[in-house]
Amino acid sequence: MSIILDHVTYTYSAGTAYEVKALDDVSLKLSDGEFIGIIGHTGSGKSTLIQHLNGLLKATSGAIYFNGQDIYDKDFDLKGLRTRVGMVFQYPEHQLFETTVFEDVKYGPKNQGLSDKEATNRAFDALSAVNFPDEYFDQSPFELSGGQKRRAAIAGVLAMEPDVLILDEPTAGLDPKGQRDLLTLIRRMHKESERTIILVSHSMEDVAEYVDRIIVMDDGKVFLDGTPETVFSHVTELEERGLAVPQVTYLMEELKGRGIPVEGHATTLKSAKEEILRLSRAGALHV
Amino acid sequence: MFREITLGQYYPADSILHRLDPRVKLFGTLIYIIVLFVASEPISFGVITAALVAVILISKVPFSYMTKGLSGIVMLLVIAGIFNLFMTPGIPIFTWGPLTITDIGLKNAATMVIRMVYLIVGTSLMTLTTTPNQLTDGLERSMRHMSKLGLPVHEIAMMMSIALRFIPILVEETDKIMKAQMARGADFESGGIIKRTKAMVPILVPLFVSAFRRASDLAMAMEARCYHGGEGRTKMKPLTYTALDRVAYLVILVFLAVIIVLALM
Repeated sequence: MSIILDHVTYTYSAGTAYEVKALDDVSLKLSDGEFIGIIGHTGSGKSTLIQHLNGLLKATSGAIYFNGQDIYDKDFDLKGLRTRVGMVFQYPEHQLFETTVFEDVKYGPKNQGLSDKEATNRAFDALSAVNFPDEYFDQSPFELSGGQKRRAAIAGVLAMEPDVLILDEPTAGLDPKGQRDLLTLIRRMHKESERTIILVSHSMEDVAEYVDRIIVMDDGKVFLDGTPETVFSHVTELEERGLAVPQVTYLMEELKGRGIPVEGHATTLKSAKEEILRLSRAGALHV
Repeated sequence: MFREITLGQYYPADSILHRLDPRVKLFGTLIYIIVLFVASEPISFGVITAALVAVILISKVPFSYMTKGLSGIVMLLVIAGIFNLFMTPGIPIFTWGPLTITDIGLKNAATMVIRMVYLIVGTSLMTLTTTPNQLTDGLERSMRHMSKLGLPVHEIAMMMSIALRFIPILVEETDKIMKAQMARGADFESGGIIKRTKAMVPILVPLFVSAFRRASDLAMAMEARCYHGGEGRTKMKPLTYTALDRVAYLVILVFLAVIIVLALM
């Protein structure tokens, strides 16, 4: 299972005064089971990029292959692709429309052509997966709290059991606990089902903590692509592009600047702690 | 897919038409509409066409932007054209079975179609070169005296500018919701009319919810900044006429005079 982007370029409103090149010659390979984070400042092309992955936007030039098949082929089943590559948009709670939460979650599976019984099973599983309290199953989605609405909306995508799950800033607008819960949930889904997860985020701490690979977008191009350690070693380049590195990485850089022989590029609290303990044991913390 | 709508959409460019005071453009559009319906002779339409082409060239707006509005009324044009063509009594010039085309019918059909096309192109020229804010400012200023008759001019202008401002927002919102539902496997294209109408529910419900939410947010934000209606409200950029506007008024009046003279002759 893989998605390959081959020199994809996308231009909004081509040929008018509003012309914007949102993607510029992007080539990427997204493999099975990866947990990928996409970062970039506002307007860098993140959202445009992910909308190509399930064929919602058609590239102006270039090709996209899903499991080796060209998704722009005439006989390619785009609707099928959209249910295999699940997409949770920013503020997904704005897409709720049914009379009850349960019916809303069933919308996706029903569109896949599943029977009512199967759709009910899927909805039940998806709602349990996101820890949605069962007493609210039959409530109107419009009466829920923000966090619960978000869970219901994510369940609506999960219920289609996609192989690839794309989440566009899923934690935006949630309180710290809601954010933690949601990210833990996403990590658990990645570990348990080994599905590919693509997380678009503005929080450097979150991507450093959760993902295995980071893609940095800048001005429609892929600027960096690698593990959190390699990506976050480019501190100045990231800052020039309106981004940052995790707080702990700044701390470790600061220690290095004061002459402490720090090794590697710690990006999470855990790895920073280990490095500091190692230095402490080696007696290297005294300058 | 919804980005194509140009109604009430401003096309940024640097032209004389863009720089004109909105009141001049409103006045010009009003005169233009009146003239369109007064004119009936080919020579008048020739003058109107020349004026329209000149203004289009001055505006620096691509011609395709003006004709986009036409696609919506193609059916109306065809029906109006056919009815005028075949149903008007007069001297027959062409007969085929029960269908007869008369000289007056031909003339009426041509006049009707030209009027409607020119109406759309001419008025969209105004909205393409004037921002919604300028437009409502102009309307409010021109209709200021009506408030003495109890007409809430400022409120109407404000409602209009908010409504115009919301068009692109709602278009974008619709696009977003459509995409979100398409990502959940929604299909808006296939099936009969009932199936397709039903498929709109997942778009319309969230759209209405968000429209109400936005409206209430906006009302709150306006009150938080002490908005209390038009009484005693001043403008950051009050409208003032320049020499260019005076020339434009003159040109419009000359245009009107020419058409009246031609109509009387």
